[in-house]
Amino acid sequence: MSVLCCRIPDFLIRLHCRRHPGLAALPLALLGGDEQIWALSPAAASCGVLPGMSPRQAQMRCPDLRLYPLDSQEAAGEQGAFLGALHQWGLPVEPLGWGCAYLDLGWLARERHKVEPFCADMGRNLRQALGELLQPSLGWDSGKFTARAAAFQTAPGRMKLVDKSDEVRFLSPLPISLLPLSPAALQQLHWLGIHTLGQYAQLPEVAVWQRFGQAGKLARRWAQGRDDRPIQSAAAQTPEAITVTFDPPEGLFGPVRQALLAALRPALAELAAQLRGLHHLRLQMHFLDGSTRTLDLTFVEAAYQEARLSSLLSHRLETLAWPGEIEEVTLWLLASGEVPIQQATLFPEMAPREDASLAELAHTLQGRFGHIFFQSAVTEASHPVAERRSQWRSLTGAGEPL
Amino acid sequence: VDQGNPVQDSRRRKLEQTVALLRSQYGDEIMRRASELTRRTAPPHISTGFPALDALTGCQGIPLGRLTLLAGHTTSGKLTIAYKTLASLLQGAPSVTAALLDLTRTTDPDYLERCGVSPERLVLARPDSPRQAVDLLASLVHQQQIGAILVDSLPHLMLSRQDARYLNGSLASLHRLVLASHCAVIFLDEPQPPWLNWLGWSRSHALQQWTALHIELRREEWLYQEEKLIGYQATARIVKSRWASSGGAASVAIRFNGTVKTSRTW
Repeated sequence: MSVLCCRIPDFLIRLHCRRHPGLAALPLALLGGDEQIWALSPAAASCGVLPGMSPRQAQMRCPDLRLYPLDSQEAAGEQGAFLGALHQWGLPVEPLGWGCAYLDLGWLARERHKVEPFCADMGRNLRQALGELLQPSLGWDSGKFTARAAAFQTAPGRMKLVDKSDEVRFLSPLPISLLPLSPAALQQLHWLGIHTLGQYAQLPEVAVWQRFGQAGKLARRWAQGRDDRPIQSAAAQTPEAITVTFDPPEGLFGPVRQALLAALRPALAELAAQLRGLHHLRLQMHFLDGSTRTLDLTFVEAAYQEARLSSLLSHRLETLAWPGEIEEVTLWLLASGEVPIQQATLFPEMAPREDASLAELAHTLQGRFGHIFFQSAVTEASHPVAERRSQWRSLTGAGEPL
Repeated sequence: VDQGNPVQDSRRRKLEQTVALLRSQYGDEIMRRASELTRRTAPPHISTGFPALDALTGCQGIPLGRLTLLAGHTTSGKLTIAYKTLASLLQGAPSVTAALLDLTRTTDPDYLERCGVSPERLVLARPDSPRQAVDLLASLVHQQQIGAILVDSLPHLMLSRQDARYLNGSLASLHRLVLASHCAVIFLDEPQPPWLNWLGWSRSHALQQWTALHIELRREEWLYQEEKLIGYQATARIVKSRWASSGGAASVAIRFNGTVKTSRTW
């Protein structure tokens, strides 16, 4: 195989900065339709802002953060222009999120000396088509993962070509965070002293399988430079349909959401095992009065986490006007793609678990510290004696109120 | 760098090669040029609820991801300022929570609520020993679910010399954890007994080295309205701040507003 990874770093942010050049040096974040941060600039990321945060949470971490709504129509147009420019060569193209795609150079060039002029030509064409600010980084190798890692290790306007014989030497010193594993798995590896792809590649296969499952085993193969996944062009992906029938028809939001998530769970698990995620989900809802509504759920980065799907699904279902009770919902997984890799630093930051409550936290810590966690509870709000108005109650359900 | 000088050019090439190698190994974020750094007007912070004090700190309040020390005698306003800061944090973001390490075992839930702290988003912990309190503090910061932690108070963390040594030994790792978690940790301190000064030993010396902000509070005068006690005037002095020069002082008026008894009982 001969795979070229073409990546425009911070595509959405650079697109916004192209229209507003004064914002280029400032911490900047773009908000999606679900009122969460979809894209952020490196300056914002260095302040601790993470994708998926609410605007308020992000501003707590970075007071100078500039928030703007994402112009999805313009972004889709530019993404189309980017893919159109890649399609000019008539090669199979597999889109990989915003401003990133794989090209199969299999029948065109397999040796470095042939690939190099082709990449230079492609870089020039893309620069002309998209402008100076949206220059791509190009990475080439015989496999997808190494090509992608090479593109991540290269500055915009440059190319990194890795020969088959140099794969192991190239991959070995790179940080483990280049693998699209979950933050929890990366944290475990960090605690185990595994910081580079070379160290991970040398772990016993059975041990990796036992601890990290099928996804970890697949990631180990990639870390060894053994990635034989073929390029799947967008036209080759066939949507799968899942039908959820409500008998009797359901009019409440909660049960509908639960049923949809339950139907999607096996597909998400299957995608997660392949280190892939969902890009585009279509819902066709058939109501009792005979009307039909269609919802398109698009993820800025491929997602396999149920929480992310649940959040977006809840938002869209809540904002939709339901003409009646739902009889049937048909789901199509229109597009899926590779899970984005974490920030390419040696020690990735653990994503905070925002959904966990204080009671869960207290239960987590009580095994080590005992029943020492309390929460205030109002007993008599209008009592003249201050000490009687409220008291401390144990959060872990043990002991008498103080 | 002199562009025409071959020695300088060679050094510059070597430097660029080294930077490129480090970036390829550890990622682009490992190293950057000073010119690429963005100038930040204020770090992430929580307002104390007192604009004069916020302006004085240089960071518009209590910094997130740092250690802060509030020191002062009893009834100097440090606890009220700390509670108001927690209230400001919890009012600002609906999903953020706070923790209070109540080593004195005197925290009044009614007073907390009157200062504006939401009781359902505050967890109170009463550790059994100073060592357990230090371990708990590190664990809470490491969990990355807490926006701010108030430690009431520092003297109770240093009941014995062994406890003091344990706390001082943990400060470096605690500082690293706090930096990574973006959690504000506020310690309350009281002036040490005079005989310790006479011996030349400072109880909070090690902590002061690690704090980014150290504020000292002193009560100046009681405030009366129609012969009724309504609060007191306190002076906040910056002993240390990473964002402002030390020595600056501001006056804050702390009014009871029904939060404590207003009749004179002393």
